[in-house]
Amino acid sequence: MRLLLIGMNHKTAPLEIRERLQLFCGEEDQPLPELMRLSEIREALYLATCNRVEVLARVTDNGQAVEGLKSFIYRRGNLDIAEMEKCLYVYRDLDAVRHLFRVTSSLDSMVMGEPQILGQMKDAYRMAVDCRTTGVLLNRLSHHAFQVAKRVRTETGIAGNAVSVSYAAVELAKKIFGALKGKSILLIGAGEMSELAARHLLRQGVGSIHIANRTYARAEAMAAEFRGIPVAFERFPEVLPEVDIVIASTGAPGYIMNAEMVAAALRRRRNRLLFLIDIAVPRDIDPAAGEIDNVYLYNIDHLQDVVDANREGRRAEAMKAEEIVAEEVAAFERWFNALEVVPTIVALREKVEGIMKRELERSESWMRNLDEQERNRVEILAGSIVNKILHDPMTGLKEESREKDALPFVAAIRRLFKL
Amino acid sequence: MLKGSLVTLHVMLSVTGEALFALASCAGLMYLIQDSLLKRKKAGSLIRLFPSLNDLDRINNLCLSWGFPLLTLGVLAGSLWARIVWGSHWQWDSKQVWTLLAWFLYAFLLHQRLVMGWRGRKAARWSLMVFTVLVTLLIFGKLFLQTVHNFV
Repeated sequence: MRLLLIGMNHKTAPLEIRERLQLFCGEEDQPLPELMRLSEIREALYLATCNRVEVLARVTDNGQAVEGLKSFIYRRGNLDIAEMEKCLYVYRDLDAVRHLFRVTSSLDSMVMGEPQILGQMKDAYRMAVDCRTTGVLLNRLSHHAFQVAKRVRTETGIAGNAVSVSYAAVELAKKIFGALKGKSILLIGAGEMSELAARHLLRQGVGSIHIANRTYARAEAMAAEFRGIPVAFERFPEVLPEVDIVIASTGAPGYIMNAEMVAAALRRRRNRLLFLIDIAVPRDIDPAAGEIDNVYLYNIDHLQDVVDANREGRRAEAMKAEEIVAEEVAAFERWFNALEVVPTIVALREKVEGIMKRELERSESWMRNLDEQERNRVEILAGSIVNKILHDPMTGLKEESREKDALPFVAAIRRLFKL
Repeated sequence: MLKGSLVTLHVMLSVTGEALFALASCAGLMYLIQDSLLKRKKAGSLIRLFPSLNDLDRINNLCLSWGFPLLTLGVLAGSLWARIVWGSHWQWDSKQVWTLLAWFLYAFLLHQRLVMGWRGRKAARWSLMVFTVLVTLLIFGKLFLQTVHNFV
């Protein structure tokens, strides 16, 4: 097949090395033209994300190409060869196909099932198409990889459940409220995680956001950022009846919200559901508040448990996904094997001879009037026309495969003759 | 003619009303299961199949607030028909008593929902309870009591 994949990911290479490679592969500095200058390379695709760098190429000579690609990466990363060698992996042919399918389906990602990689892969492919570095093989392979990713996504639950605390909070909120459009949140205290959760919620269409903080200036600054409403810290119980989701993350040593406060708010909001998220350590909200009907209180450990359970679930789903990948690799292999020169020639011959035979059978009625000898002559005539027509394309194909790159021709013939 | 269409109307309205109550209790049951899973922090994979709590509550509410007027109209139609056929609007027949009980229970439930702001868990629990009680009574009535209202 002469397909080669060389690269490194978060499992094989430490951050410093990935970082350096990425730095040298910024968008303005596309490595593809340089790659194509390597004489053994026919097609190339280059993928770089924060967790991986991969070069996929169709090559004419495996051994030389590996060296060429490696030295290309060393030069890019400006790193010590011995150091690099440890981080690099090289896959050939079907192993490369499998690796590509696994990467695109997010089976090889740091957070398994994360959705970004497919988009990054599509961007990489688009870039390669723009640089005209893809051909028959990589085009087909890339599209196949996108299909595999789609199958994995729809047929397994690998991307089904949240695997980050802030996203788990969003999923729970959806389980409680359904659509989050028009719901309002109250952030008490600022912190990275609460801000992240708020951002996720806003993306889900949450209507308004109130922000209370001990330092009012900080609340105002955050409110400006989120287009929210700043609330003086001691007055947050007053907005409690108006909000549906509370995210508490203050550094207070004790509870800042007790069960009575929540019960009172619930009465004023006529028992509308209330989701309390307490991600502060020590906790901000009295656990007794969670006992009240229509109040759902989750603290950081509860959310972490949800995340852990989801991670576990994803691992189980990954097994199914691996099976899909194996199936698809086999499908790709079938397609690829058909692209060899000899089977193509055989298939072409068979098709054309089949046509000739059928046509002769159809002419049976009038050929009956001819005698044996005449009939033979007609058959010989038909046969020699077929052979003359086939002669040039078939020898051409053989020559191409001996000297140059027959793949595009084989693919074209397969397509034109519907083989 | 009038008799026929009255009885059809009576049956259609009552059956639709009661079907809506049954639906309300289903939503209530699903609500309670999901509520308890969420409260016990057991939001596993099963939970993904259910609609959200809010939606279940809305379904419950919608079913009650449509079921109740339908049942009321059904009873009225039935009593008009009874006046023509049996000579009186109301006979204190066991089935009629059952219906009256259902009517009062659902009136209470709807009142609590609309006026007292019952929502969520309490509303779900009550609609399930009321429905269970009514079905149990209906089965008992069928087994042990005579009725002139012998159709369902």
